[in-house]
Amino acid sequence: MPARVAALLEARGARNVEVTHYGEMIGGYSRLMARFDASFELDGAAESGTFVLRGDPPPGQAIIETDRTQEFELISAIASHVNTPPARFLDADGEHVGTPALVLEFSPAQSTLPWIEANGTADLPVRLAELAGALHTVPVDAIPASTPRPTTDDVLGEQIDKWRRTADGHVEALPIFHYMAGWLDAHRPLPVPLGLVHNDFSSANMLVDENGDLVIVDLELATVGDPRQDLGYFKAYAQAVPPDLIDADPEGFCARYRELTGYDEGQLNPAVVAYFSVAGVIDVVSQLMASGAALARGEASGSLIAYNSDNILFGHAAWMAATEALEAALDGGT
Amino acid sequence: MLSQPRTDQVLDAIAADLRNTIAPALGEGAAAVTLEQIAQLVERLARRAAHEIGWMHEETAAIDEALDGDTEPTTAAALDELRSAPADSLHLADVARRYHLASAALSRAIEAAFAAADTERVAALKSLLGQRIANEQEILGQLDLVGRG
Repeated sequence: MPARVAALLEARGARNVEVTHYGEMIGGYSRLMARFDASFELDGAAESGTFVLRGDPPPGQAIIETDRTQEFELISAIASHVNTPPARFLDADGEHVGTPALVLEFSPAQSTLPWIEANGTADLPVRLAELAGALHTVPVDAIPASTPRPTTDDVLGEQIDKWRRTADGHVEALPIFHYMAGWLDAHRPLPVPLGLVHNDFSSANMLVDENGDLVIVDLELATVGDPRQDLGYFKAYAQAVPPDLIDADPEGFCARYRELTGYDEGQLNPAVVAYFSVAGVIDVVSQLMASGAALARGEASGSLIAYNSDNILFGHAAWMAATEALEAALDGGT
Repeated sequence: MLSQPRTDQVLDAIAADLRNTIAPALGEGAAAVTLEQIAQLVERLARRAAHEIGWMHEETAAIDEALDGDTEPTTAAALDELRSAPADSLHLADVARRYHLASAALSRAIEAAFAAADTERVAALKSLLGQRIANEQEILGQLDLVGRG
């Protein structure tokens, strides 16, 4: 593989390429990940450093289907706005490394959960609001055309309808998905302007850098839409993998986020975040359901697909609990 | 066939061997993560194998009863389809087929209840989902996601 990676870099104009210390990385949940050191000359400048190769699994084994070119273009476009490792090279069709892949600069930042174990949550809730604020205020006209956009003015309606479409396209009927669609439709919050949505905005996709700032990675599912989906998704994911950094001070988190985005209190408050803890998960959930369906049809294989589609059961209970808690809050209960 | 040890007991034994015998030999790394995921899956399959035919059968009957007399056209049509499906087989694929048809009818009824803003009907249909979720939680057990940071 090091020779293949070197060939990719050379095809992109690098000279005197040397690739060493190539090794598989643990933690690339949806994609194959490897780390390597490289030295080369590019555009007349000598470079050396550590890089990450991020490529597609073999056909039929991916738990989600996404596009490396789309991911490369988005990372390249938002690098000046968001704290994320720069994308450097793209093998769009796998001509060089054998599978569609991109090469990113390696970030020495630490995974979030081990960092929290060692340091506590510190001021990460505020840093989370700042990361989300930065991501969600990327100018929409700076986002590449390859990033999916809503097709109508009813952005939230499209998102809600994904619950129905996911259910209707599945290998078995999913009445819980229809319940969630109906409930979300009946309890819509005020709209906000379009923005970039990560769609897997969780501690699993964040690192903590030497300044204590959060770094965001894995932008493969990003779309243009209602940015509050990410806040809800973070909260939903944290129920399965704590801690919930928003829950430490929901009002304070929302206040900082509103400062950065310009939203008013009606558009973003703890109840709205709770609403999106259901509404915001459908992009990932629909991908996991699709791969589970492919397994059921004999079109895919791999126990990781079964494991992840099985984990949707946790979501069923969590979504229902969230809707019940929000109904109680809206009715003036607990 | 030999019915003892039951399927769930055999699956539990497999999961125990994966954890106690195979996992220590693997050490840490991607294969160890996959093994833990497989062990969790096998444990869930044990709980599922013990109950799934019974649970699907019970849920199907409860949905059929709850939707009886529903005149909303798409719900009534879906209920007719459920009732016209063969009901005498206990083979897993046949039970799952009827469960799917019952779930489809319930889905239509839920959509109709929300569209009509019929909060009482929504609450009644939601109670059926509550039993489903309770069964699912028994299958899932304590969630311990492995492989993600």
